[in-house]
Amino acid sequence: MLWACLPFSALCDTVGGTTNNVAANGFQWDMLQFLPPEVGLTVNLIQYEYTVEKEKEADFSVTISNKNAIGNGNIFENTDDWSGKTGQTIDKSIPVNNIPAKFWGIGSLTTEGEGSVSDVNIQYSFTFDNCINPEANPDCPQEVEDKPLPVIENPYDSDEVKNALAKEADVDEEEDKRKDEDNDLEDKDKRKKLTKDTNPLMQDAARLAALFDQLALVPQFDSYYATEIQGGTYEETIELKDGTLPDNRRGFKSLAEDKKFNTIVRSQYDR
Amino acid sequence: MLKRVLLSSFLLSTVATVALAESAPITGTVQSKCVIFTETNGVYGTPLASRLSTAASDGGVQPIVRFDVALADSFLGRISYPDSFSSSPSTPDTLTFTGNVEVASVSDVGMADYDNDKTTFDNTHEYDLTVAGSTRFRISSQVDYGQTKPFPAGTYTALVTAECIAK
Repeated sequence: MLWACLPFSALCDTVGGTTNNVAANGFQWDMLQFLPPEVGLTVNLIQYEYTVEKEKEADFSVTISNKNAIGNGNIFENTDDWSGKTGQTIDKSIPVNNIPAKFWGIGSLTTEGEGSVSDVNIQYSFTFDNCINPEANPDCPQEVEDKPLPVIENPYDSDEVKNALAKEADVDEEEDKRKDEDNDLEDKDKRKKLTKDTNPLMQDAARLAALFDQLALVPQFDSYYATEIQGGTYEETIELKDGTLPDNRRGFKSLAEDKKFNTIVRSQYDR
Repeated sequence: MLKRVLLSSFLLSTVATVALAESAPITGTVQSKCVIFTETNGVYGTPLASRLSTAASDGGVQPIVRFDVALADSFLGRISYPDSFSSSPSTPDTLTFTGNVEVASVSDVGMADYDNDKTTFDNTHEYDLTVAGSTRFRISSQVDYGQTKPFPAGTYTALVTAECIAK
């Protein structure tokens, strides 16, 4: 049984799974027959279930283990000591620290003492990176190789072009000048003619001017001139009573000073 | 009028005083240390017209309840097999409920004697959950109607009660 993460997941390259019951055909098994041959595969969990039949007082133990395939001893070993216990069905999961597949050697279930086991089911859970070798899996993002850039030859470096350029350099310079002057006059006449022929505005300048005059004369301000503002008469409401207004002495003084100031100011011009 | 104004001022000042007070909450989250799952729902079979039974041999399915205990020796597991129907057609005659609760599987050898150490009263079986881990309990139930009287047609439902009680 395999599972894979969803395509939009950040870990979409990780694939996990669980082996079939490795003890289905006996209490010893070869891991190579049950673990997929994927590169980078690691085992992270062992789940087992079995039923013990024994007398309660009897000594009995069950050990599940795996040899270390590339070293001595066992890579995994777990013993359940049923001594003095009533026989029962055990269903246990033991996590292991992502041990690479190459370490997992021959597995076995051994018993010791008076008793028996039945209904054994042992499974290993594993994960691997499905894209550790992208070339082997077209679904993985492929690495882009550095392709050599194409060499583009400069066409001016060819012998044909060089020879052609050398021949042109031999033409008489005076003849070139004369031709250039003639060409200039011809070009001016041609440009004038072309302008008249191809520019629609120049073809009917009078009609264009009339159009502009017409646009300028369009009375656009009628709405402003035609508006009538409703008015009325504001009657005088303030009534002033007659009386004697005394002279403003301060005003007189100010006027006197003004005259003096004007005299001083004018003195600089009226010399 | 003055009294009213004074009263209003008093109220305002009181509100202002209350608003100045601060209460600092202390929150904490406690994860459950004992969780119960129903792994298998039970089904009654009808080996006889007057009998309902969850035994596989009678065409029934025994319910399985799992207790996950994170803290050893802190909880009691109390499971009761049904002693009445929660819903059924009218059954005027006598109903006789019998049943049993037993350990189906354990995740640790230390739980092997849970069945031997349990206490039973009425239809309730109480387990001392002394070891941390998962224990599955299988419940059986049988109902006999009258003196071999056929059950009225309809749907019969009975409930198993499972509780986790802190010691």
